[in-house]
Parts: sequence; structure tokens; C-alpha cells
Amino acid sequence: MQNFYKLLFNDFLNDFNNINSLNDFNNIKIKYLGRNGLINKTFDFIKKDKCNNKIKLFKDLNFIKNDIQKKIDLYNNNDNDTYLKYKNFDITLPPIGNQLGSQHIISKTINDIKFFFLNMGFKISDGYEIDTSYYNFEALNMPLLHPSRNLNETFYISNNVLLRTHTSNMQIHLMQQIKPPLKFISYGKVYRRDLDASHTPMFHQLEGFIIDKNISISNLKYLISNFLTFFFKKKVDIKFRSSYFPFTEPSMEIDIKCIKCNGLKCSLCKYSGWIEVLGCGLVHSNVLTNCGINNNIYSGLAFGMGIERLSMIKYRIDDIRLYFDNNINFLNQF
Amino acid sequence: MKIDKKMLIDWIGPAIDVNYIINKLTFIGFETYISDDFLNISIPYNRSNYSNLFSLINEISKFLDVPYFKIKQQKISIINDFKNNLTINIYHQNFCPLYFTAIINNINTFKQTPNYIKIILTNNNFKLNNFVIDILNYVTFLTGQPLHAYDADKIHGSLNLIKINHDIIFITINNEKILIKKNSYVICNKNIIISIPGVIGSFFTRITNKTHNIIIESIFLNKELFNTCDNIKTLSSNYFSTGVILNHSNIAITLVLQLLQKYQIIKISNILEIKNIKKLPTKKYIILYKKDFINILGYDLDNTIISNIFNTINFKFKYYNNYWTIEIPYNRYDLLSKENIVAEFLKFYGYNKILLTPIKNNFITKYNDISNYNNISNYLINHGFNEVINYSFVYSKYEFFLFDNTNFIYLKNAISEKMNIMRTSLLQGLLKTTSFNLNRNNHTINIFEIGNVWSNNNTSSILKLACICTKHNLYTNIYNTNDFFFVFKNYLYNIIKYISKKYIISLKNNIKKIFNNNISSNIIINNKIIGIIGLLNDTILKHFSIKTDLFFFEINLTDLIFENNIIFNHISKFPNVKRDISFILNCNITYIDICTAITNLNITNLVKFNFKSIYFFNNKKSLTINFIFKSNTNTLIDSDINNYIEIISKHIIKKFNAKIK
Repeated sequence: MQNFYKLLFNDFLNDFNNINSLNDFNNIKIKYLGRNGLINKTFDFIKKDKCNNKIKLFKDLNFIKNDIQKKIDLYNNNDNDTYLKYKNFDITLPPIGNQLGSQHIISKTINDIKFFFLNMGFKISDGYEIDTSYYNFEALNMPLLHPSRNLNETFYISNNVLLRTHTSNMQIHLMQQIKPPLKFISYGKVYRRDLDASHTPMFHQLEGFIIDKNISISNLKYLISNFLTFFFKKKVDIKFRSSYFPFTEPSMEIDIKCIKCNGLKCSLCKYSGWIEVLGCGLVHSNVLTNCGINNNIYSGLAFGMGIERLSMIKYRIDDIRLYFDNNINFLNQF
Repeated sequence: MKIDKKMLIDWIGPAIDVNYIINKLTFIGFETYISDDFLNISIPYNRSNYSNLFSLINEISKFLDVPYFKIKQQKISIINDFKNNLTINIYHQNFCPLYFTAIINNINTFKQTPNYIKIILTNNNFKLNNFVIDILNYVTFLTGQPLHAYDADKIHGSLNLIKINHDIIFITINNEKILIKKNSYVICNKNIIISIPGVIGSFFTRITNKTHNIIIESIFLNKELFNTCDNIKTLSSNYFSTGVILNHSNIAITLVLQLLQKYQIIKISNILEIKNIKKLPTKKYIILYKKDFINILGYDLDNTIISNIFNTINFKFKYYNNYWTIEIPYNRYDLLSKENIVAEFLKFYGYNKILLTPIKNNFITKYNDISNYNNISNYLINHGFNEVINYSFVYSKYEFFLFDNTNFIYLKNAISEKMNIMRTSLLQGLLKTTSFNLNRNNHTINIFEIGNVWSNNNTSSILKLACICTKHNLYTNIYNTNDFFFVFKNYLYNIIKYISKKYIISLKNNIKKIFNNNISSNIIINNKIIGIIGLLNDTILKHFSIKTDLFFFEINLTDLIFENNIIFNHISKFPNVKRDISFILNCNITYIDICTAITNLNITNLVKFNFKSIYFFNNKKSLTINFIFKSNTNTLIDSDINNYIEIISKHIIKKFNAKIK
């Protein structure tokens, strides 16, 4: 008998789903719930039968009757035309409209970094991409014979005008224009005459500096340690090591434990377990003097980082050339 | 600099792990890694006088318990007395306070250079030459002391170091003519210049296959006066310009004689030494106050710790009440100030041990204008655009093809011909990106770029925003190409609104070379052209192998000012009333003409009017405009509205010969 109930209910569903007009609906209502409908006929049949489990059979049949009644009531609640209009509406079909675009990975990384430094009280300054060699080299304590000044390393527009090789030129512009204390970051494109698998002739840097009284290397470590924890969204192992930049003294380079292999040595960290992320130091007294700042009163810290490098480490991108291919399949990932 | 791993182990002993040395060297600023059994060591620019093996080993010995390098004294069999053969006159001992020389007879320049020397030289970018030159270069690699050899048979009488009093043409060892300027130092023999000291020798006295007797020269030159020749730079001049190590001049010539005698049977003279102690560099002292030390580090450290580190670095120093007087070693040209001393201290103390101190006086800044560009990016991104970043240098030929403009800023040393100028527009980069992506079957291209452009007319760069867009798939069924232009135009209008809601934009037809003639316009704000918009024409697209319609706009962001002072406008409590009017007009009358005419009527209570619909028939067009009326003081009644509508209708009918539908 239970099988018969299942067949009965399935037949009802089939009929119900094939309703195309009000007539169809009324016929189905009569067929199943009418005085001489299938449900009532089944009740009569059970009454006359001499089986032992009549109570259970009546109970189950009542359940089916209720389900059919609910479906019929639901149909009655809707305006018939509306119901028929959306009868075959498939809610699972894909949405229509613009797909979400993407911000370039470089801009995204810059924004992440900016967020940290804005909250640390830094101001933002725009920079000159074409500048004079004075701002790019001389004022930054880079001697005339420094190898980076060669035609092989730097793009020159004329003997004295060049495409900046780092964002540090803005340090000089700002220090000459504004009296200390100063607390700025500056970012943008920089250019070096280099093109191979790991270098592009144009890339992005972010530079930051503070000029104030009593700025120490200990402050610098505090700032950089906090920044790296913020940027990589986790506590990273940091290694500070000595380095040389003409515009800072003492100078440091900072390595972090490889975030891919956690120091176990992999291709990302070139099998050293550590990855270099940025350079920093205390602003060289010659640079302060060049900008007319009394280095007996003021001292400063400065740091600079390659945006592509940081984002390559964070998102584990293995080819810098992808950044400027602008392949939408790449861009859409961020 | 590359050092053979075996060579290093021979010296330091097998007990010390090479990886330990690599880490230590890296920590003190000599970035080091191993490849092919060689230690690759990057010498910082300020320590370039350390680009020799002996100095580097001495640096290593500061953190290893191994002795400083000392040359093994070997007996050299002296045959001749130098003075019997040649006299040396150094007339400018302030320039050359130390001069060593020796004569070697019966040398065979054909002899093969030992293999281990060849390997070291090739790995360190020295060119292999003949036996004598290879030995000299090898000793230079070991000591950092450039050496020179003359063909002794070509020299007679005396060698004189003099200063020339007029410009002279000189033929170098490489048979190149160079100009030596007046007041340069040279070495002469019988009025013939045989070398520019510290730079290069002459072609006349070079060592050839026929040379049998040579003069070896090892000199110490005053770094401050060393600017002899601007128009030629050699390996030797690089060494001298950064400063050679004082006591290596003697060591170097001794080593050369030892090596030559080891590999050949030769006759050697004694080493002639000309030395002027008074002209030698004097000892330098730097005073480091404790308070300066604390200022740089950020906190105090125990004097004993500081003294111990100074001892490790081999500084000779004395501590007085509140300062140190530190004697700087001769070979440390990089130590010039108190900051240098602290930096040197920190290398050995360890940067990792420095404590963290929060920065005082942190202040929170206001939001900056530059950040507003993010809003524009975000708007476009949320409408399906991808931000791209292209190179700032582009191909002048294409830029000329696009804009007929020649005011380019050329790069003197472009990386390639196709990247020879700074871009004057963002279009070229965007077209290349579009072509690149279309070739990879990305058929829907909605891209934008924000970046600087330059031209010869402007002294500074101009920040521009440019968008390129194919027809959206969403609209292909309901819009044709012409209609999609308005979807694209909407992006432009919204961006301008992001910058300032006060800006009133107008487009004025202006035929541009890059655009289709019918869809080509200037973007005008406050009577100033701030950009261009249009449908790129087929010639341009064909040039970049693009086979799909592309809309493009570019605006100067530099010319637009972000609205900062937004003032709240009072909102009327009274209801607004809407009315539509359909005008039948000639096709040549534009929407903006109608708008201007209505605006000029200055109808009070007309808050806004919007485009509603348009259709074309029999060379006429039916334009429906929706008018919104609202008063700040009362509810408008039908008679008021009808009155306004009548004024507008009559004016348009009269002015444009229109009909009301």
C-alpha cells in the first residue's frame, strides 16, 4: 500500500508541474481532492479492506492529502498569471552584469603600505620622475664616480637631467622646502637601465623618512619591525644586517625568513632561507647639511622598498615581467 | 669578487665552516653566496679598497680566531743593483710619496701562466694576457695594488714623474689616442711619456712577445690628487681613485718577484724604494662623544661592551671622561665621521641586538589628495575595469603616428629603439596591452591606467587617466556601437563627479586623427579642454592589429581639483512635480542646443531636466525631456506648472522651428 501512496503523490507532482492554464489547475484539484477524487476513493478502499493496520494506512494517507492540499493552497495564493510567468524561473542561472575589475597589484601593494604609514602619522608626497642629477645623486651624497651614475645604469635625458633611479630624490626636495620635523612617504616609478628575467627598466619604490630631534637607529628598527608584521599579516622573523647606502649611515638591509619555506630553503629565497625586503638607515649628516638642516640638532631615519619585490614575496609571484605584461588573466587574480 | 673555496679553506684551516664565514661576511656588509665552489662577495662601494684577497682575509680575521694575513718571506736572489741601470726622479712626491721598482732580465713572456692563476683571473674579470701581465694582475687581485711593467729595452737614462704644462696626445698600451690635459701627472723617459701613473702605460713601452727585460713598478698615489685623466678609466684607475692600501705597495712588488722567480730562471735587481715620509698620509683621529653614540643608537650601552668591540675591530682608542679618541687605520678610507664609527661598531655588535624604541611625537595626518585617485580606480574597478601599468617609455614613431606631435623628450641611452621617448599620452601603452590581450583570446578589454606623461612644452609631468573599452557583452544585444558610446561616456562623467560634483562637463565635436570622424570629441570643463573621448578609428586599430571597436578617453587629472569643501544643500520639504515634453526637431539640432536654450530661460522652480528618450523618423527626431519642478516655499499647483511648460514649449518651437508631439 505504501508503494501505491508514493505513486499517487508522484503522479500528483507530475500533473501539478504541467499546469499551463487555470483549467488544468481545476481539473487536477478535482482529480485528487474532489468528492470522487483519488484520495477519497483510496479512503473508501481502505475502509472496505479487512487488513489489520488500517489506522496507520489512514494516517499516512492523511499526510499525503495534506501535502497535496498545501500545494493547491500555495497556487491559490499567487496571482495565476504571475505564477505561470515565473513558473520555470531558474534561480541558479549566472548573474548578468559587469564582472568585478581589479586594481593593479602594484597599486594594491602601495595602498596596503600607505595605510600603515598614514596611521603612523606620515604624510604623502608626490614625486618627480624626471629630475636633475643633483637631486638624484649629488645631494644624496653619491660621489661622481659612483657606478650607478654610468650611462649603463641610468637613463639620461641630457647631461644633467635624468629619470630618477630611486624615490630618495624626494627626500631632498622635501627637506629643502619644509622645515623639520618632517615625516613623509613618497612612492612612484623609478628607472634603471636593466632588462632581464629578474629586472625591468621601470619599477616602483616607496620611500619614507623622518627628520626630527633624537631619532635613533632603535626607532628605525621599531618602525620597520612593526611595518613588516603589518604587511605580511603575521609575525615574521627579521634579520638586520649591515649594508652601505651613500645617503644613510649606519645603513641596514633587512631580510625576512622565507614565507614560503619558513627558512627551509626553496627557490623563492634562492636556497638561503632568507629574503631581502628593504634597505634603511639613519640619514647621512652630509645629506642633512646639503638640505640646510642642522645635523647637530636634527637627525633622521629613512627607508626604501621595492614595491614589486614586496608584492612578489607576499603573493609569491615568480616573474617580475608579469607586472607590465598586463595580462588580464594575471590582473584578475588580485 | 670571487674567491676559490679551497683557497680560503687552505688559509683558515678546515675546522672552520665556510657557511659560517659567508653568514658573518653578509652580516658585516659583504653580501656573500656560494656558486660553483667560488665565494661570490659583493664589495660595498665605500669599501672598494677591500676588493683584494688580503684585505678581505684581514676583515674575516676580525671575527675568526685566525691571525692577520702576513706574506711569507721567501729569499729572492738579487743579481743586479737597480741604480746601476736606471735613475728615478719623482718630482711631485705629494702626488706619489711612495715608489717601488725593480728590473728583471731574461724573462720569457711566452711561458704559460699557471692554471690556478688563470682560473682566478677569469673568474674575477681580468683579461688573460701574457705570463708577465697575468702575474701582475694576480698580485693586484691579492693585494689591491695595481702594478705596471715596462719593456726595459725601450727605456734609457732616467724615469721622471712630472706634471705637464700643456695638453698632449698620448698613445695608450691599447694603441688608442687620448688627450692628456695640462697639469696632469705623467712618467717620462727622455721627453717621451711612457705612462700616466695609476692609469695606463704607453704603446711604445708595452710588454710584447719580444720583450726579455722588464721594469716592474708599484706606486702609492695620493687619493685626493688622483684625477689625472678624466677621459679614460681603467681597472688600475678604479683602484687608485678609491684608494690603495699603503703597505701593500711594497708587499705587491715583493710578491711579483717571488712568483716570477718561482716559475722562471730570471735575473732580478734589488727593489728600489723612493719614500717621502712627510708626504705619506697622516694618521686620522675621530672623536666620538658618548652622547652622540647614545643619540645614534637610541639608548646607552656599557663602556666595556663598546671597548671590547673596538678592540675586535682593531681600533686604537682612548676613552676620556665622556668621549673616545679613535685612531683610524690607514686602509680605512670609509671611516670619516662619528656615524661611520658607530656603524662599524654596530656591524660587530650586531644589528639584531639593537632594542626597539617607539618614535616620539607621532602625529596623525589628514587624508591626502593623492589618495583620492584611489576612489577613481575603485569606481572603474567596480565597473569591470582592470588597472594596468605600462612602461613610461614608448616608441617615438608610433607616438608621432598617433598624435602628429614631435615634442618628445628623448632618452639619450634608450634601452631599445622602441622605447626611445617618454610618453606624451597613455594611448600607446593601452593599445599595446589591448593587442596583447586580444591575441590571448581575452575579447572583453576594459582597462585603465593612471600615470604621468611628458612633453617638451611642459616643464613638469602631467598626470593622466585613460580608459580603453570594447563593447560590453552585456550591452551587445540592446545597444549598437553608437549607443554604447553613451555607456562609455557615463564612466567619464562619473569619474569627473568623483573629483568634484561642481564640474560641468561638455563634449564638443572635434575631429582627431585617432578617432572615427563621427565619434570624436574634446572634453571641456570650465571652458578648458581637459581631455579627449571617442571611438578609435580603423587605421589606428589596424596598425596595432586590433580587430574590434575600441572606445578611448583620456583626461588630465593635473587640471582637476578634488572637491574638499562640500557644503550641505537644503532639501525642500515640498513635493516635486514631473512633466514630460516631446519635441519633434530637425536632426541637426543637438541635445546640448536644447539644454542651453532651456537653461537660458532661467525658469524659477525648474530644479532639473533630464533626457528621457529619442527616436528618429523621416529625417526628424523626437526628443522627450523630463522636467522636474519644485519650490522651496510652497507646493506648486497645476496652473504654475502649465505656465512653465508653456514658456519652455513656445521658446523651443520658436527658436528651433520645432513641433510639440
